[in-house]
Amino acid sequence: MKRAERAVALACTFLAFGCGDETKSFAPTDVQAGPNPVVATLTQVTWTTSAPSIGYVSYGLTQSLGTTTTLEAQDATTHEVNLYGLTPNTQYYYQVVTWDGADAGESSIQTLTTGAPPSDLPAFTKTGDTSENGMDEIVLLPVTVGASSVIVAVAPSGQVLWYHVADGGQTVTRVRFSKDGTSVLYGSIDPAGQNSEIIRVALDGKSQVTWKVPGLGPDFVELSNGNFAAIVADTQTSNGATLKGDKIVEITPNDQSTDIVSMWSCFDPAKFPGDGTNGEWTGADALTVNEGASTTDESDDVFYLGLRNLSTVVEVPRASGKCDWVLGAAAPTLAFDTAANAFVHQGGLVISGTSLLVLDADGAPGTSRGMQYALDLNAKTATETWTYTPSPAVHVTSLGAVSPLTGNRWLVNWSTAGKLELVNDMNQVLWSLTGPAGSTFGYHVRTDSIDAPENKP
Amino acid sequence: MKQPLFLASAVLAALTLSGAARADGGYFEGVKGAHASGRGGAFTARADDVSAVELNPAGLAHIDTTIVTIGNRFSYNERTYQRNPTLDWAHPNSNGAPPYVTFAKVKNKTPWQALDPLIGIASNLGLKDWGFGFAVYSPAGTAREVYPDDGGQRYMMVRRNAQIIDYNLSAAWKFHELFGVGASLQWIAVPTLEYGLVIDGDPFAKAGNPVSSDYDINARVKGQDLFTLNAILGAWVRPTPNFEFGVSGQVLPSEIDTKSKLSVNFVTPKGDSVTLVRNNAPANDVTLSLPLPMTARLGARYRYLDGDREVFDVEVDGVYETWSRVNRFRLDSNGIVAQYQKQFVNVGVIDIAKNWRDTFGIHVGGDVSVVPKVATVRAGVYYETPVADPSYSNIDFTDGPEFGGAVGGSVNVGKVEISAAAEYRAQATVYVADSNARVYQQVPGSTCTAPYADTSACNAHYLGVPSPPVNGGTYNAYSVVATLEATYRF
Repeated sequence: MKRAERAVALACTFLAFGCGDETKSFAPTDVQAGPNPVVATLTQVTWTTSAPSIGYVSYGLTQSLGTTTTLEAQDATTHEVNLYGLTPNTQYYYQVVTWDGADAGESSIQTLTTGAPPSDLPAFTKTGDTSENGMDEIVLLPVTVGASSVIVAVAPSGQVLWYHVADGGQTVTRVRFSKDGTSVLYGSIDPAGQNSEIIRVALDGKSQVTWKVPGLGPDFVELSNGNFAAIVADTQTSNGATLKGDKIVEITPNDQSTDIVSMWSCFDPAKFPGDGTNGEWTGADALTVNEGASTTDESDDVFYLGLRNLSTVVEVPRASGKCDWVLGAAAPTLAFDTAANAFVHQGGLVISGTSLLVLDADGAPGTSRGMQYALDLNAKTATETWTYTPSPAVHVTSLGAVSPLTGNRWLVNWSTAGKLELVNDMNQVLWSLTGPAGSTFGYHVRTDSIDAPENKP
Repeated sequence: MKQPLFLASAVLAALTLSGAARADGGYFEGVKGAHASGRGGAFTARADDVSAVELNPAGLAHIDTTIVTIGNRFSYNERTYQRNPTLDWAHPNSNGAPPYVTFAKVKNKTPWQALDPLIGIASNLGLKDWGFGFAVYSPAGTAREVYPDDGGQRYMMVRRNAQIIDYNLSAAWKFHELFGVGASLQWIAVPTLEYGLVIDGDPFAKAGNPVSSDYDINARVKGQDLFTLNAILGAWVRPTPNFEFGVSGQVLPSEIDTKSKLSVNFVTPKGDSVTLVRNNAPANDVTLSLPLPMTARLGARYRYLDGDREVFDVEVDGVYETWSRVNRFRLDSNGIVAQYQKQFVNVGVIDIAKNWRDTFGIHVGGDVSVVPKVATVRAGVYYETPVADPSYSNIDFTDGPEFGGAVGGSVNVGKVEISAAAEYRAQATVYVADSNARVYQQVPGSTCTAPYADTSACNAHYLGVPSPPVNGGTYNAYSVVATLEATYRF
């Protein structure tokens, strides 16, 4: 019967009567993929469609595929989708799926082989739960081992989804995703100070842009207007001594720099000398910003700056350019609920509403700890609402941070110990990620997806 | 066997078959009768057996004796459909991308049709220029089709069982051998018409469940319409002994309107069932309407004669059918409300869009008398234009262009003629892209109304259409038909 059916179909074609539309013009064509020359865990899949469409790629180690990218957001006829988190030197199967608003199209299942990884790509050890009750987010963080710094996006499983090897000899303390979700931003600090940069590297590995920021400190943020706000050294003389203080500056894409506030205007080193060494005075190490309701008007920005050597956090509204409230050891306007809850040499800051999260390096005897405070600006108090002290003790000598996750979970970044821990409100460790021996972590951000990343603190 | 006993047996058999209500005809495919079928349907001008009651009642005047015919049409009806892959927007994976869902090819699970009878008697009743006929038969077609409840076709149809029986009473008169006229009064009885499909009972705004819904409901309508009247008029003219022309037509715009019962059940059983109410009282009576086409046949045949004996003939017929009368299959619930827990969904009117169009078929066939008065062979071919634009293709009937060919033969043994025909009928493969598909999922609870642009009521992925299209895909169909028939002449 099949022969007869073919004959009928042929006759139908010949007679050109209404046998339906035999062309599937909506299907993807020119489907191609190859190893990314820069990132071995990444591949770009490209295809074209005859009409504007959206699509995604399904891929996996077998023809059953199993993993999909997110759906493209915009209709287009030429498409490029990144596959992150591939295992280097491995063959993958992949298939393109398209949607033109009515028809779903597919390519055949094809294969690609990933490239070789760099020798200094760190490997991680993961423990614990990777479900939604454990760790279910991707972490972007800088990892330094010896003189090598690598920025990695790590899945809850410990798999490296994406990486970028920083220039040798530079220190990387902060990474963030760019607001447009296409790139990673990081601060590359020259120990000598003058050749520090903020670097934007595209997630697809295809481009890299640098901004020279002499004196760049450990932290910066990207503003909605496309500029950066960064901690920069502000060295002045006080009572005959040269002291390195800090300031917040705004840097435009063409490297123009404008001061927002200097800590010299907030504190007097004679009254609050801090406990820095080698002329390091304020030791600013953490910066965050609340950009207010408007994403275009930066005039209502409010910055929060952590001054490690002063064990102090300050709020600085851009409009006033002055320190507003101060919490900590230097000229506080807010008071801790108890002296035992005061932080000392705190690391990264997360402020959400009236909640403040810090990694307190030296406030508790013999160990560092994560601290969360409720700020009451009327009562002028900071009341501890959560604390986590690890067992065995961990002592962080710089940086470190705590992130809030939903469901009463906190991600603690034990920076100089090279370890992340996810803990709950019972202080149970739900998940942990440990870097190679001797590794240190810079400030991290989190995201649900690396296809369309967002910055979670 | 005594003649009256034979007649009585034939009539009894006809009544028994009509009551058997199994595997009778549906919406039509081909013709009944071994002679007509063996000629590929080219029989309008010849029409010299009991099948003339349908094809051209004037031909009964050719029958100068009394004949009783009993026959049956056996068929294997392969119907396959493979729905196009689609994206399941209702069940995105963990990163929000809609899964690409493919559907298995589905087949008609009841391809064999063993009982498809034709029983008739024709006689001139001793009147030289007259002919009379009475026949009971199911129109040629595929009566029953059943598909998987979970198949890709389920939003179009899961089952259809159309048992149609035609009772024809005919009379014809001729003027010598020059011309003749005739008429049939046709009583169409539909003892069972069953139609089932899956509908999406999702009561929420923005419903868009192209693959499956938590509220998938098997909706089945079953009913009957025992009396629909129709009429067929016919004529022939033989201007010379070698040429004959015939014309006939089914002339009344009839419609089958069944009084039916509606039943609904969740595809995936839930704790509570769906109840049907009207004015707060249980009710499940609905009406299902299927218009019937009017038909015109025109045939011309050449007769090669050896004296008075017809050695062979070749006939060409054109058949025009007004299927454009079928815009939709309409299920009117007359205000029934489906109730599930505290949700109420107005069943309303379910329209299965058809937008059928008139068809034209051309049939070519003929007989060859290989052994005079003993053995005849015949053959024919045909082509019929599609009844549906591909956009409205549906699994319920073969609605694409159809081709076919048939062979047959007859042997006379005394007063008994045994005839047989074998036919192959196929629909050309029909492919419908989803962007061209115009049969939409039935979502009675949807508040998305024309022009289907209200984003607060309509699903963002299906703006501009009432709901997900469900008839995109590839359709294939073929039938292998064998007709066996005995005619007793006296």
